[in-house]
Amino acid sequence: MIDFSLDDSGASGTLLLSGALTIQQALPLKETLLRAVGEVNQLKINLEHVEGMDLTALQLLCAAHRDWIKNGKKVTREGAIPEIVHRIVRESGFSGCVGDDDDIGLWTGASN
Amino acid sequence: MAVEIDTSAFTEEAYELLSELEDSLLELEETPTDMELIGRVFRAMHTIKGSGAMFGFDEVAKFTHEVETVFDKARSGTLPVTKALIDLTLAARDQIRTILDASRGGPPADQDNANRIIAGLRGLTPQKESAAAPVAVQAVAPVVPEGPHVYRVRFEPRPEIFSSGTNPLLLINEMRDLGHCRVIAITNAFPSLEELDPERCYTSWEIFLTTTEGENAIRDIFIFVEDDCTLNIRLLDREEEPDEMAQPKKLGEILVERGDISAEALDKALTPLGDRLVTSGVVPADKVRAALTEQRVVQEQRQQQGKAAEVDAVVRVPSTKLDKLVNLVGEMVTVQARLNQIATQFSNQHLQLVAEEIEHLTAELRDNTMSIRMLAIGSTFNKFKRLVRDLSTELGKQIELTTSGADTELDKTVIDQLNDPLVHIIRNSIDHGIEKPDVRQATGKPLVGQIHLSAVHSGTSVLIQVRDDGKGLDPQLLRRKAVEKGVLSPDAVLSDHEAYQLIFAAGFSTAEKITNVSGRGVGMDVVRKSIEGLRGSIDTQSELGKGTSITLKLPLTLAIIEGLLVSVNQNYFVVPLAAVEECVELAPKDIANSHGRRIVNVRGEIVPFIRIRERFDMSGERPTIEQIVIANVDGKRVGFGVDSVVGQHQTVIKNLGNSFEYSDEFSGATILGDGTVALLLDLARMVRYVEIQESKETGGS
Repeated sequence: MIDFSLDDSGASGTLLLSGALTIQQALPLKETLLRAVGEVNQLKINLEHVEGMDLTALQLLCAAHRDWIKNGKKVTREGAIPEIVHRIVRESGFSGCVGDDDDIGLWTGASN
Repeated sequence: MAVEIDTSAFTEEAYELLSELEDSLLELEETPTDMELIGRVFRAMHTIKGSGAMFGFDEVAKFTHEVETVFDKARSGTLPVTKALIDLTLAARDQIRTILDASRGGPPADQDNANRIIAGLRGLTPQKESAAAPVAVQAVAPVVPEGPHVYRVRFEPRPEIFSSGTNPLLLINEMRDLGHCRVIAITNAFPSLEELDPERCYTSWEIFLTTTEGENAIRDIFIFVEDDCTLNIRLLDREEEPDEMAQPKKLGEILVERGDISAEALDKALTPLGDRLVTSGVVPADKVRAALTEQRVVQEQRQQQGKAAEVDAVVRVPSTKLDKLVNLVGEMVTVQARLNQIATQFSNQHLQLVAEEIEHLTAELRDNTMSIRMLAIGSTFNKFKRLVRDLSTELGKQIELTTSGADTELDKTVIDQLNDPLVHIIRNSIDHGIEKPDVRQATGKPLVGQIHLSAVHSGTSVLIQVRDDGKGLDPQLLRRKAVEKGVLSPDAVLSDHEAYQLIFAAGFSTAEKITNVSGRGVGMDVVRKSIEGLRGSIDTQSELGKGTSITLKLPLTLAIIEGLLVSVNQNYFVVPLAAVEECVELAPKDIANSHGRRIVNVRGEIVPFIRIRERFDMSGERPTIEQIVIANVDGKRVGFGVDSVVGQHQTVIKNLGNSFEYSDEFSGATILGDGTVALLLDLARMVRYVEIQESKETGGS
């Protein structure tokens, strides 16, 4: 599931991703990420119920993450990152790709 | 002929790997999620399979391949490590051993057993795979004989690769089967999120693979995507200058080595170069990351190769060659003693100088040679982990085996002969000592019983102890059973400590029923004989309800011992010095006071003695004043009457040969400096024979 919701003030929002993020969800994921990047200055991202992801999702999350940093958006994490996600990031060589700017701990594998 | 040698090299290595495999499996049973252990198990099997195929052991390769295939699933996390998997893999390990034994002339391996193990293992794997028809065993790829090396694989998929249904991550994961992979994703080609087409691939990879396989094995993985990617494979560590290690060290390395700065501080100071290059746009961050990884992987591989080279420096020598060397050194020690004696007689200064130098060199040669034969007892200890595991499961008991002093060194000959006695003692601890869990619970003990196996040096001996926290020995029960079995006379008075020693009497067993573990009353008798055969002794301590400990005292070596040389009517005997406590004189008035009994009063303590002259029916007159050598034999002080004590003597022990088969009161002989032969006394056996003889004479048991 891919869901983005704004809070009451409209200044911050929460991106909730769950299930398997594969090429079938690539397009809706891109659209939701674009919305999230464009609409709010503060974003909470929740990956707690992600059960798997492929390279398309990794590329989208990585590109979105760079845009967030570039645009000075504040991104925080809600909930833990499942071990399976950490493993996929690690095995696909994406660990450490944004260095110290990894606020959500997705790329550096920071503890939950 | 060359093939013969190579084959034996393989079997020797395979036996070692099987031993490692067993240890790793037992450890894995304790920590089933330890990926490093799973990797170790897999590697051991992989090497056995690969070398087996190379040396023509097709049966080993075929069988191991099946087991390895299942264990690979554990490695990839798709199959959990369960007790059933460990049990079957241990059984597979035993089966491989049987196949190897068969190749060396042992009984043939049971193919049905092999099939059962494979069927059991297949049954553990997910259904869709086990349901498949019997798969023909794949041809085993020959292992590249050189050690592992590092490849840098640049993998750049075409952006449209997803449309062919290819998942590049699966290809990368497949590479992990070839060896250890470090994967760096190169993501600098990513456009902004807005421009990114979610169905195109923008990622490329640099993968550093440490493997024993060749380049073709890597290309095989990408064979179906050849047209959808650019693949560049380069062997890294072999292209370096061979002498590069010898280049002068860099300033940073020297500072770290001297302890002036830490490695972390150096890294931090050096990082700006990468940072500067990235900031100035010369090179993307991913490329710097890949370059740093390349540097690290190659460096690690070099270190590994260095370690392998160290291992290569070890030379394997058949133990028979070593035995011959020890014999020759023994001869030399004897000849050197003669030379010393002659040099003293001739009073020639030059001769004496040479003799002294030879004495010094011989002593050094002897110590060095003996040290080559010394092995750590740990390998023997490890074998018992499996024994305890299997037997305790069979008997429905929970037992933990702990060990200490595994690095204690003992002569190889002693270690070789120690295995069977220890097996008997540990089996007895498991069967008779440790109670079943319900009994332990009822008596307030922890459910899991403990057996502790320890080794420690004590002077010229090694003490090996097997201690359990089981039910302990009941001295009353031991006495009653001994009387029932005719081992002990009904009116015999025994201390508790003496009663414990009854467990080592021939035909003695207190087991209520005979199991296939113990209870036939054979084992412990054999244990005592074996340990005495090694010139060792056994001591038993026990506390009813708390546990038992059996301590074996063994000499460090069987080839050379320190002895006390004594003489009786111009004949020489050697008493092991380790057993000797003191020497006292026996004057005629002492003999008169003892009223015909062979006893001596040592500072108020009455010590029985055996007169060597009488024992061996030797002729000649007794001297007026006899010497009594008092020794500790199985915890008791016993004297041995001789004519004179010559002095300490380093004894190179020679076997007596078959003609002395029935004279087992001598455990060997030695040749003295002047060529005279001296017999080495087996004190424990002599004392026991005299006791039996006396009890017969007095009509007791």
